[in-house]
Amino acid sequence: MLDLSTLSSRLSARPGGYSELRYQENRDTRLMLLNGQLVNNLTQSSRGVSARAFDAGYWGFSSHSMATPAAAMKALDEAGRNARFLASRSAKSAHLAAAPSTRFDRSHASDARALPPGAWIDFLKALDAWIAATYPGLQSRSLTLASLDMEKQFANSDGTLLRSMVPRAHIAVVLTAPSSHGPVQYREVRGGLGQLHDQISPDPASHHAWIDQVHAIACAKSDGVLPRSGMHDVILDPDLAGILAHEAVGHTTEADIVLGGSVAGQCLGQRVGSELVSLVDFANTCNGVTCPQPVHVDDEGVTARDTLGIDRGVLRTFMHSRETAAHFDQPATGHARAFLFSDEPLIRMRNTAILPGTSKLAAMIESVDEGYYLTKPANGQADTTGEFMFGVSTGFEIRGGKLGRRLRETTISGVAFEMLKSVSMVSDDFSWESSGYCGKKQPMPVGMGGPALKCRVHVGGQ
Amino acid sequence: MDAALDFELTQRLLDQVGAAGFDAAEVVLTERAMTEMQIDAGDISLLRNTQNIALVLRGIALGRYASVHLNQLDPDSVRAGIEQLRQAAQSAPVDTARAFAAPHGRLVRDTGPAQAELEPMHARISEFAAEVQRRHPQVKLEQAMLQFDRTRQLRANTLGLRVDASQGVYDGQAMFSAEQGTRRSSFNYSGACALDMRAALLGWGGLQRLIESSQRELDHVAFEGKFQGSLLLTPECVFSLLDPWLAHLGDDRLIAGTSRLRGAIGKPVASNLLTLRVDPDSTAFVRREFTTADGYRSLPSTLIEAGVLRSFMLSDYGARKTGLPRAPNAAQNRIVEPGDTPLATLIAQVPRGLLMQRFSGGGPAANGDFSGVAKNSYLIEQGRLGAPVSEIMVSGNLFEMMNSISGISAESVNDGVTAVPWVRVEGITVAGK
Repeated sequence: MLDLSTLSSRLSARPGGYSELRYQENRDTRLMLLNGQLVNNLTQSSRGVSARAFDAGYWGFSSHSMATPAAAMKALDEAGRNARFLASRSAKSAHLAAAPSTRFDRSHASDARALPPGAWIDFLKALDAWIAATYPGLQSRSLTLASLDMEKQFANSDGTLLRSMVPRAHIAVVLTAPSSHGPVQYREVRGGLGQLHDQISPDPASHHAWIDQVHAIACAKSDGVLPRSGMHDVILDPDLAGILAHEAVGHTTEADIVLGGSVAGQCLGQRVGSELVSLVDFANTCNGVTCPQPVHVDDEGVTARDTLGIDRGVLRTFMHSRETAAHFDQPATGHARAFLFSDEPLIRMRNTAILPGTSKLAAMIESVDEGYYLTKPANGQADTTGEFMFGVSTGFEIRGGKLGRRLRETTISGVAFEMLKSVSMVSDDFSWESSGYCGKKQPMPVGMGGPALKCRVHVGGQ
Repeated sequence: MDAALDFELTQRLLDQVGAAGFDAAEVVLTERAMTEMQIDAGDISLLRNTQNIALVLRGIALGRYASVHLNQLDPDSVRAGIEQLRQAAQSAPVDTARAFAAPHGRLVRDTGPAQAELEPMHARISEFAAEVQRRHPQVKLEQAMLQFDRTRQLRANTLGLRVDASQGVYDGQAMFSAEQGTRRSSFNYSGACALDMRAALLGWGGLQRLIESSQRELDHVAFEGKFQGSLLLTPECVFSLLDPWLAHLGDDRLIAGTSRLRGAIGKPVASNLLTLRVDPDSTAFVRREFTTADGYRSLPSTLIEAGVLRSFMLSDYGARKTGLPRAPNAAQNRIVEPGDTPLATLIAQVPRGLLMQRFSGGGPAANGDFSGVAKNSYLIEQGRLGAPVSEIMVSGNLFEMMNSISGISAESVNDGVTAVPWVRVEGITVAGK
């Protein structure tokens, strides 16, 4: 592996503005069984070196897949040339917030010995065979094992040196059951920070109870109903609060999206939610426990710190890169990350969560006369207007404070700050969702978390 | 190590994979050079160039298949990659459906410019920012990118297949919204491809129309109420709802047995107004498809002809697995045939409905039920395009929707990859607050 510490002195010696080097390797494994067929048996590695230079308000970037000192220096020269090309054609006033130099070296690689790839295929085959034998009425079944190791080295002209390895691994099961209104599908995923053998037990029997539950829900969805479309009181399960925090609030407060027109730009210091709502984007640790995507020093050399986005309903801060921090005259927050070696760092959320409250989930459900308890999220999206959307794969009707019929798929939406003001109860539960990717110009692994919430949202349906 | 990218290299790699115990192998080697200029928050911010090599090794050993992707060509990395391939294949089940494409003559293609022209790129993107500012001062470019991409792909397998395909393409994309005081529109995005920098970016694809609309959308009102009516999809929006339906023609659903279109070849699956063709390597398009993902030469096909299903979209593996025909292309260059009705007439015929420019929704259910937010949309009432609306959701079923297509415009938008008209469907539930 390229050792950037041997090159860092050449960064600070360069004339002009700021510059940085990054070496990055992403290692993926993906195994998928579909009705017992191994349709995906992929091992993937992508590594290389990149450089970025900031000159007279412009960025230049260059990357090469050859990870050698010569390629690194070539990338640095090209990045500088690119920045000067732009700077020579028009003037621009942009600066970077200061970031004291720091050193960080931490790998979350497992201490345990990795299993050979064949062992995981055998594991999936055994688990799949059990599902096929136990639930012969299923229309289809799929099992996916996915792991991603992101290994980085970083050096910049401020003198910062970073080495990190952040892995994550998941197992996903999708069961499709027949029904009178066509096939119904239900998906669940488990896993988190760590490599495959940290997160997933290779004993198929240890997953049986979980898959029993997944099967029960898939079958219940067969008799499920669509919700009535319109505005409703809903209880969002903790699994949903995380994606709400990410889509409804998080994106609108990323400073690049604020500069691009997000409604949050006019709301700093103002009430955007009820007093019950506080939202934090955690850097690496929450209540003494490592978060799903720990970031200690970001891809601009900034020491990452927790950002209190919403404090008891009041919008307190945006999430920044060094450039946006300077623009808003706020401290840099350590939110800049790049997905591949060939990507430039963008403002990305890390571990975004609504903080728990004091209510009990059962009491929250009882408090709803007519509405829905929504339990499992799918994809989501945010808008500059503050309107958010995310898919919901299942839930329940609530009638007279009691759970009613199971729901099939729906989509919910709302205007984030209106919805947050409608939050009237927050549970004392909390859970993290760690398998998600945030889309923007590049994908990025993120953590999302929260408690159960009672609020009003627009529900799609019949 | 700087290795020359040629068929001698691919043959050496095939030989190495063969020596590791594989009786059939394929090597796909792609070299990509990309140059990109970017606008953030209305100003040019970044000039970026990347160079990358992608090496895909696929192997079949006694019927057991695996693939490894790496981006290094030095001997140590290649050796390690082949060892990973060997280990991955060892435990794979025997699958007689795994095979590599038979040779079809040496295919050599080279289209588009050889390299980026930086000065014209800078001139065009600067002009774009200035023109948007001048014509639509309330529209903010959240981000815009002008990219030049040059790729060369070599594919070789142990059956003798040889493909050498190169392509240079300019790709412009923009994401934007309008802002005035406290009023904001939803963001929208669009773009297109081109072979040169001759045309102003604002004229690419549907960009000009959508940016103009963005300014009008400042006057959006939150919709209240609920009705069932017509939904008129703009060209940029059509595949948001068509793609999940097309997924029922692909590998995953057909292999899983969950496709709702399995026995539907030769049967009506949509309104007879709809014809959907694929024309890869057509000069009507900028970014062209030379081969399928398996390496077969891409040939034109018709997916839907006057509402009747003519073809699935199966890969070679999917075809062997299901016993159904392999698709002759990868369906990149799709053409929804325009209709006879001018867009103005499509609107004038609507008693109550919605013009939807962007759909933001959860993935449809396995049975085709969908719901989502209708973004950047306008009410249509009594044949007239009305106010832009917000906080409005649409729901329906994809299969019912395809059968309810009631009009297709004569006008069409070609973004350099696809050609799509406006499509009107009926029976959609539209609901506001």
